[in-house]
Amino acid sequence: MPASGDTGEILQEARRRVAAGEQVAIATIVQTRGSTPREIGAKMLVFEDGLFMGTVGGGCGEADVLQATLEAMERGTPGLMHVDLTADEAEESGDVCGGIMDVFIEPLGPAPAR
Amino acid sequence: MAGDSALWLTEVIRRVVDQRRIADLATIIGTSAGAEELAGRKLLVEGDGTSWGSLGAENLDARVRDDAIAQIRERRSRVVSYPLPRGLEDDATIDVFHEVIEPQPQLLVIGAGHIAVPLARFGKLVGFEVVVLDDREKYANRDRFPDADQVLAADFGGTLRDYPINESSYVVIITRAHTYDEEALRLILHKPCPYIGMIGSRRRVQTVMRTLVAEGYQRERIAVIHAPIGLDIGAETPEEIALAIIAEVVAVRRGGTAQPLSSIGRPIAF
Repeated sequence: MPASGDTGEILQEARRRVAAGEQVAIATIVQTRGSTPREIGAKMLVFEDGLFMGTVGGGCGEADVLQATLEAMERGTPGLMHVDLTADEAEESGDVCGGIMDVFIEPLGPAPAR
Repeated sequence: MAGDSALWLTEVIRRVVDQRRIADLATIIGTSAGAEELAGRKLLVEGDGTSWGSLGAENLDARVRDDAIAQIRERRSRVVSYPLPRGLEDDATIDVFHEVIEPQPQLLVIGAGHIAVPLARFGKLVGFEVVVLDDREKYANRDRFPDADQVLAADFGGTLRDYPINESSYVVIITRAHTYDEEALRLILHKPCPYIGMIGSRRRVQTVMRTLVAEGYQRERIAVIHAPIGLDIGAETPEEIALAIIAEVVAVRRGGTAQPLSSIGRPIAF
C-alpha cells in the first residue's frame, strides 16, 4: 500500500511551494503491470527548476517521466503517461525492468505564463 | 487547475495526514473525448463517508464515494472506469484513480536500551514515525535518540494505558525485564495494531506467554505476537538485531514473505 510517510511529505512540500507562488507538478503511478521498481501511489514532485523529490523508479523510465512532467508544467494541463519498461523498449538504455506503468501527471500552482 | 491547486492539497493534509486518518483521494485521470476539462478533478472521501470536493457531476460523485468506502476498507488503490453521466454519449467513460492514502505508520519502541538506538534510526530510514518509551531518563533522552519523533521518559503502564495505538502502529517490546514486557503486552494485546514483537530467548518468551494465558488473555491473540522478535539473520550485535527487527516489521507492513527472493519462484536458467 502506498504510504503516507512519503506521500505526506510530498504533499506538504508541494503545498509549501504553491503557497510561495511556485509552480510544481506531481507524477503518480496509477497502474502497473509486471515488475516495476515502485508501486501504485508512488509519487515524484517536480519543481520549477527541474529538481525533484521522491521517485517513480530511478533508472527505469524516470527520466522520461521527468521530461513529460516538465512539459505538463509548461502547458499547464494534466495528462496520463504510459511508460513501457519491457526489455525491447529499455534495451538501448540498458535498463532491465520488465513492467509497464501508467503515470498521472498534474501541474499545480500558478498558471504558466504564456 | 491554477488557484484550485492549493485547496485540495490543504484539505488532504488537514484531514488525512495531520490527523493520521485513512482516506481515498479520487482523481479523474482520463476521459473519453469531450470531457477532457474534467481531468485532475478530485473527490476526497474519508472512512466514514464524509467527502470534500467534486468530480463535476453529482451522480458521479455518489458512485465514486460508494466505491471509495470499499477501497478504504480494502486498503487498495486502483483505477475504476465510470460511464459518463446521462446526457452525453452512451459509450463514453471517465477513469478515476482511487488513491487510498494511509497515515504514516508508527514504530513504537518500548524499551530504550542498546537495540533501541539503531532500531530508531532504521525506523526513520524506512519511513516510520518513531516513538521511544522507557521509564529511565538516562536511556530515554534526546541525546541517544536525536532522530526520533518522540522520546518519552515515563512509566510504561501509565503511558501505554492512554497512548493511541491503532491500525498504523507497529509495536516493538524490548524492555530490560520480562515483567515490563508483560505490563506492556497487557495494555496492547487488545489493540488493532498490525505488529507486536517481543524480544527474548525462547524461555523468556514462553514465561511471558504462559503468565498472560494464566491471567485469562486469549491464546489466539498471544500466538500472533512475533516472539522471539525479528528475522533469523544470525544477528549478534545490537545493530544486527535491530536490522532483523526492522526487516520483520517492514515485511509485515508491505506484505512480504520474508523469504530470500532467490528462493521464490522459478529458478533462473543460465
